[in-house]
Amino acid sequence: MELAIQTVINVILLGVVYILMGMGFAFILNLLGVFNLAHGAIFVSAAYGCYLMVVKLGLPGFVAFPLTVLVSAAFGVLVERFLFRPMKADFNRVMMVCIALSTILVTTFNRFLGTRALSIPPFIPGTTGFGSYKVDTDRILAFGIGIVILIAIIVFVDRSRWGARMQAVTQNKEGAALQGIRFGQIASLACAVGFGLAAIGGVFMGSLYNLTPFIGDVTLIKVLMLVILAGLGSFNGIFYVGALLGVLYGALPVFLNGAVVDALASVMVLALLIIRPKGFFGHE
Amino acid sequence: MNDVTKTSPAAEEPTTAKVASETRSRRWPAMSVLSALFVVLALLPLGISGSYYMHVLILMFVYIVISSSWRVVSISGQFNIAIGAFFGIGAYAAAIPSVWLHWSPWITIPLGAVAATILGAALAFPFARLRTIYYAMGTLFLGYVVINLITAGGKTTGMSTGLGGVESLFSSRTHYYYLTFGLMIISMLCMYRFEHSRIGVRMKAVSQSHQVAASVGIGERRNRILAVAFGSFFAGLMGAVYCHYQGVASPASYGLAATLWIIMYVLVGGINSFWGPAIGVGILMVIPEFFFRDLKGDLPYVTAAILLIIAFTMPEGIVGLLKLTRDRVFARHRKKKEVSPDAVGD
Amino acid sequence: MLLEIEHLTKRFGGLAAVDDFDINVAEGEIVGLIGPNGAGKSTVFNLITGVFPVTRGRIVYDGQDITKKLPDQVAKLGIGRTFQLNPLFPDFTVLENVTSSFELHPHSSLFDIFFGTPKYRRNEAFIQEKAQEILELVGLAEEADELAKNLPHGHQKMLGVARALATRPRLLMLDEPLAGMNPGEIQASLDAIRGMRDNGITVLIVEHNMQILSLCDRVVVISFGKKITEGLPEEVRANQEVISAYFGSDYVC
Repeated sequence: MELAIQTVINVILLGVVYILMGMGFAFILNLLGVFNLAHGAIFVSAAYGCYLMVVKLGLPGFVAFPLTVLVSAAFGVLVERFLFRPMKADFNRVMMVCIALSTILVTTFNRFLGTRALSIPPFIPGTTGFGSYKVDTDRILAFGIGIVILIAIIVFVDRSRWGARMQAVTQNKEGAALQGIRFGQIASLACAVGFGLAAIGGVFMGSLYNLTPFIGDVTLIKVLMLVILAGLGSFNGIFYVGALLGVLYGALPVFLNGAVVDALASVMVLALLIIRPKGFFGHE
Repeated sequence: MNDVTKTSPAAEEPTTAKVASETRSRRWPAMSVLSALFVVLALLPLGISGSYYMHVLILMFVYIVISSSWRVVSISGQFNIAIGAFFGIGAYAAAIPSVWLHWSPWITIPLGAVAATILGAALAFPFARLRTIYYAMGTLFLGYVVINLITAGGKTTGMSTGLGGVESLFSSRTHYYYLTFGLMIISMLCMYRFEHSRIGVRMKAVSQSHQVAASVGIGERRNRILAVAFGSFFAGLMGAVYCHYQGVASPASYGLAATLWIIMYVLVGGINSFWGPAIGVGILMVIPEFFFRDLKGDLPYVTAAILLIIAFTMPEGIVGLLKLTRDRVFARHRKKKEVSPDAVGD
Repeated sequence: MLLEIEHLTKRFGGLAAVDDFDINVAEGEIVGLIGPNGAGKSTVFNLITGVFPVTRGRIVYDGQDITKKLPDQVAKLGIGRTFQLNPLFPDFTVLENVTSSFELHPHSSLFDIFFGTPKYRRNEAFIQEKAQEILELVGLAEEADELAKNLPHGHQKMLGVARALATRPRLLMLDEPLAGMNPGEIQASLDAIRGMRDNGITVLIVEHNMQILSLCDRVVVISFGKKITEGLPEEVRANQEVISAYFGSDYVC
């Protein structure tokens, strides 16, 4: 029974992390036309950054976490302005820039923190629960924060003025410009949000699971899976597919060993891709 | 008057009309550089000592072939992100019989090449009518699936730690040097022929417009599969050879990261030129290893810097820059000679 | 009679795009098929080449019933056609556009090509020579090394015709060859089409622009999928009042 509860929590948390990551990637893809292959590196760097803040600087979690997210968002604005925008959405050039950025970030953190597995200490240590069903308090906190953020994003995209502008730009760039929407502002915002979401995902992953330099690559592939299956241009599809991936990667490892889970999941994704290359929820 | 045996005047040349002899005189510097390089590389092992440099050169030969084969596939309009996996299929198709059945490398190496080719053709089938980005993503996951299957393969494949104990073909590194050097030359000749014959014309036709191509009898599906099979052959061949050289096959060398770096070599050198991949490998892999070796852990910063410089200043790659320079030099030269009124436009 | 079409009908749902249409083309003729937009002219072409299946009727080419044949089969029988939207290979030169279209005959196998056999070299030399002839015929010989995407529109259309000629057709079907051309280009095209007939190619032209009448041996007029009238160009032109009354004065004359 305890295992069941743990699994359910894992599924939900993983789903939340994947959706956050996928959303972040989708923001950058849909609004800038950029395949941010460095997304995984941002994810990992934010996790390492938070780790450094908590462990080396001794900041409490409640300070380190928002700080990490804000720094990542700010970094996103800089990257958009100086690395992405000059590339004019040319796939080859963007690819080079992303790989360069990713290499720099990962190498730097490797130098300072080595390659062994780390873990960000929990923000709220201990467990809660009733009777013999105990759960790490941190997980509940993460779950709560995740849900709040996801709801905030939905509200933002659907209800706010900035959200409306972003949707306009996604669907028709030139038309949006004619309406007076300044592309530069939208781009910066999108990248800030994208990097910020990646940071949140990274901190979650780093504190609830283990943190190694390799999880960036692994997560990037899962994000790509997510975005492609959901369909390029779709925001809503990311929720559904993210949830699916959460189930896959949260529940299956209970029954099968890790490598087999990866093999199975990737074969499934490939089959789905072959059946519906344009994804299931896209509108392109 | 056009040379009648040319089927496709190199599409990389400038757009205005040109005189055939002028084309030949433009090729002269390239031919002499190539010949000089050939001689130098052929005689190198006699001169240098230090197995490290020879090791890097062997790596260079291998990666020049793989990068060039990726580029050959891209001529048909396919941005293939599974090439690393076929490098790996070649390696494992050689390693597994070698380790478990003790087959000789003279058998396993061709076996690796053939296995990669057959699988490449078969697996290309579902993707052979997909458009650009969907093709790229599809092949990305194809590669991912292959690596996952290898990692989940249990004792036979050695899983994520790799499969060791692969029998070596030769005992001396110098033998491997000449083997990979020779294979590289043969491979490049084949790929040159592929690109510059009517086969290449068909590929470029399919890349530009599969409907127009179909209307003249050039089938999209079969030509795209042919391109992938051709590329996979060379990737698999070098995978098998390199695996025997290293003595081990490990999945990390064949995954997404490896494929992305192969693509980087081609982009840095110049995707629109036959020699682009070779130049890219030279600049991105060999020069850092040769000259910045003492940087050790800082080496990735050098490569990242190179990538950024190329992305910002010469997106057409190094060859693109060289071509621009060459055209400017020749334009000035021609202006002095006052040969023809239409100078090369820039 | 090279091409005989009888009772040709094509329905899309309830709508008859082509309705009980007859047309005959004798070998060596230039026949014009004219009518207003939406009359069904291009649909007739698509039915002949097998792009659309026929609802009713028969298409006989050189004595053979080709009603049910598919486009690539029709092409192999020696019927070439151009398209209104005129797709080309944009990054190939004019010459490459034409040489790359010589895939059906002569055909070189992969083996021949890769190993450069004498057969391949002979084929390629033949192709270069024929391509050069074709370019001269359509008047593009001087732009042989220009990239197709850089050509002015009228020249691109002629390149489309050149590509169709590469398949060495006996019957060439031109779909609105004069559309979008300036007067100079129109004159050059008319001369080029005459040159094709002199080279033994039978030509069936669908056109909106009445200037084509000066070129045709016979003219067939179609409207709303039905044949309105047919005859010599002078006769049809004399019927001009009927036509412009019928179609209005949106006709270029």
